[in-house]
Amino acid sequence: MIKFILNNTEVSTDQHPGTAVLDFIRYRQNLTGTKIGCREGDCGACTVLVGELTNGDIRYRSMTSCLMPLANANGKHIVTVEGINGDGLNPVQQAMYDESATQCGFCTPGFVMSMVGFSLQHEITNAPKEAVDSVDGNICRCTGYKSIQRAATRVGELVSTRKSDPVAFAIEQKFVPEYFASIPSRLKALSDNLSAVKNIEVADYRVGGGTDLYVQKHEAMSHAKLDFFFDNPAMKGIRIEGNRCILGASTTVTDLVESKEFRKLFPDFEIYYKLVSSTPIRNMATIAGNIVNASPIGDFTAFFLALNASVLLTDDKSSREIELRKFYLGYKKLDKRPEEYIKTISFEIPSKHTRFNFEKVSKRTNLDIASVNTAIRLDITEGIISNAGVSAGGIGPIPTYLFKASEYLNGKKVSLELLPELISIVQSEIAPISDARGTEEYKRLLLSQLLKAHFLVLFPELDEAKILTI
Amino acid sequence: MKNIDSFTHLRGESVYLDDIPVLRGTLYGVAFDSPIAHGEITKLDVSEAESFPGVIRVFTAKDVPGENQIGGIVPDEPLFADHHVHFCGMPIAFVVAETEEAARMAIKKIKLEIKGLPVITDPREAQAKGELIVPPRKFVIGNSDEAFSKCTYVFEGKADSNGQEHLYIETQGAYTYPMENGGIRIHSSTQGPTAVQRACAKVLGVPMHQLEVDVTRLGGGFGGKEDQANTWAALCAMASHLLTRPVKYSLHRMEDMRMTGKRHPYSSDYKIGLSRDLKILAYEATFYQNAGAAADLSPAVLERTLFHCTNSYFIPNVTATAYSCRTHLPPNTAFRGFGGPQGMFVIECAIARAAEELGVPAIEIQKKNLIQSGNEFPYGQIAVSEASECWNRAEEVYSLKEIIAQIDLFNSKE
Repeated sequence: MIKFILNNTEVSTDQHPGTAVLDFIRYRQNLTGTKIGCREGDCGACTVLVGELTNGDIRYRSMTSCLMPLANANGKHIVTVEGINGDGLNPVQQAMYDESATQCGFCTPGFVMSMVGFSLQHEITNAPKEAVDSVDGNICRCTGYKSIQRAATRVGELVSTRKSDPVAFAIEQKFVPEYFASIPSRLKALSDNLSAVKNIEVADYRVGGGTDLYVQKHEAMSHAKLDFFFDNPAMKGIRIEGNRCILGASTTVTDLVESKEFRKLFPDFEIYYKLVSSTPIRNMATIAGNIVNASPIGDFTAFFLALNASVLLTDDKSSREIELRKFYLGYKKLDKRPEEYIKTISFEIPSKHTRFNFEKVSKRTNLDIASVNTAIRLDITEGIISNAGVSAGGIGPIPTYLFKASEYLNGKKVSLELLPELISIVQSEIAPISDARGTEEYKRLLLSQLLKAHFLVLFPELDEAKILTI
Repeated sequence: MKNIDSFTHLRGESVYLDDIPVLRGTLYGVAFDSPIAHGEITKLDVSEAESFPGVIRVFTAKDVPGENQIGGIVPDEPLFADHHVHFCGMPIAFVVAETEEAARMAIKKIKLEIKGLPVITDPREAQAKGELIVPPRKFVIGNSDEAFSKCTYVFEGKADSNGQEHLYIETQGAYTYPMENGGIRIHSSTQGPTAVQRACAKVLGVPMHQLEVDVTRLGGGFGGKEDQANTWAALCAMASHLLTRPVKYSLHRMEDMRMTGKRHPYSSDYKIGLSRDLKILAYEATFYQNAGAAADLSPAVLERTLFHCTNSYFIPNVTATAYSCRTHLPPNTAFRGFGGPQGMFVIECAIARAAEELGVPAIEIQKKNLIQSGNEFPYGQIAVSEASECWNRAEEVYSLKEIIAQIDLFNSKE
């Protein structure tokens, strides 16, 4: 039995745990404010908020309910637009109203939920900008984004006056109704008689955040045999042990974003993660999912490849560790037996001698698949590269660790003279194909340019004009 | 001025097609569509799908009580493929079941064999083979042949513009149910309620007054829910009529993108002639409109292309010819601009080409040729024009000179 609080009501259901939350709230609970646009997490019309207690503290995150299995709602607070409606319009709704930010109205509840989610967010540094960023997973087709941007900016300005606890402030400003104050204690009570979702031992699919499975296997998920790991405490957490950083398999991108330890290792992480999908998808997508998906253009796969990360595979009887760069055998083919799954991902933490960069080019800035992505990690002592790792995606059938290029850089003195040879070696070890994301020629050019971008970012002391003319 | 629906939109209380509370006994339909673009159906066996648990009926062309025809301007679009399929995504059968899930699963049990036939996707190829939706249209003013001989500069070229998916966020759909005295109420996410009513009446073989079409609102349309809304309404209405039950079909995004027509791709030829002082004296254009497999609104879209073929310019000698070419794409349809952009794009390509060849900024040619009051359009209308005033005001408001200077400065850097 799955139990959760839906808006202001406790619900329990024996529906198949793989049922999409979207279908449950629309067709079982008759809450039709949450809309179906694409069922692929691309349009954001089905955005809901998911509240979860962590160490007694409640956090709300926006998620696309079309990709979310009912199992991942167990023990949580699910909020739809009906659950934030008060008597009139809340400050988000009022700002959208005043700025004429709704036309056909179909995408509107999704935008409202994303912005209300922002108002409940804990860490806020530049509220007006972050309020606009919070709708990066929502598509509008008729209103035009300027009016929505103005509305979001107004919401951000109001939130920037916050001095109290996020939920208390949201209640005080009527972003959310008063019942939100009672949710933490009700979730606590709920957790006391909560049963874990029963996992099927020989499962068809292992489900994390659902962000790829629910796109690819949408129809199968509501009756398949499933094994859920998103909320498994044993699969969670980011920790540092000695000189290694260890991520639980169900670590989401947002977990990385919110981890102080992790952010310390990658000071420019904000630049990288903003290039990856959208806020609701980052709130759901797991790193292990990205890795086992084996997509040749997986963004975080490229990121962790350059770090020469390892994955710990287990079948619950025995475990083995394998380097990520040796994990991919062919297109969507892994060195993994069906009964094995990823338990953790680990990598050596960057030292003060390490420089790291990630680059991605896609047709749109947000919520798009890379044409080409690449990451680089260089340990540099006294101007000499002692240890290099270069990866790239979109340039072959697998997410690729560029062995020859990495090897070439080892022991070399940092200089822009390295670039022509580096580019030529990289070109010899990649095999892009022409597809919807670009021609082979274009992808080859992109990667060459992105290698230059790595050098521009990592070595500001080098002559920029000269790098650009190589 | 505020959108009167803002309040309910913002609270998620506005009712769209899939939000209408369903009546007791509602059935769910799903279309089974052609997997290939052109072919002859050699075998269609729906018996296994029909005996699938939960399935009530599987409808095909032979079940249509009236005419198997939904074409608006030209009656050339069967509701169900009968013997032949003309585009990938063309409905062949309509599975109606007690649940949507059962209908979707039953679809996989339909056995279809099709003998593939040659596929045309290029409108020029279609035109060469005489595959036209309607006879060609031509707009002529002056004598372009003669005028070209007097031009200092003449340039010719080809300009292609591609299709575009509407991507209204609410997909297509219909919900229909029987009323008293044999009537049917049709809820449709449509921009053309009358088109829906007319198409359904023809398919059902009933007078139009027996059908009520109800449209509260649409979650976006952009032209994609004009004639293209007819199919789903007709499928549901037919099932409601024959089964005397409420029937609903709200398309999945992938079905919608696969089965519906888009903006028309065009391939066009142009020839432009200018005087020494950059006055456009003559223009010829030939438009090959990729209409897809059926007329839909293509003839009207084609006319609008011709109406806009000289954009906001005055050209005294014009010959513009347009072909609506039948290909094996889903029937292309209305889309914001309705053919206008496809016409304007070609004259702008011609001007850009001339500017590039002559080494002058395109805006110089554009500004010099803006239509003035009293000038005649190629279709004979005398212009009352504010084009020059508008242009001058825009130069001022947007500080055009400064913008150009900034661009030149940026481009002068390495």
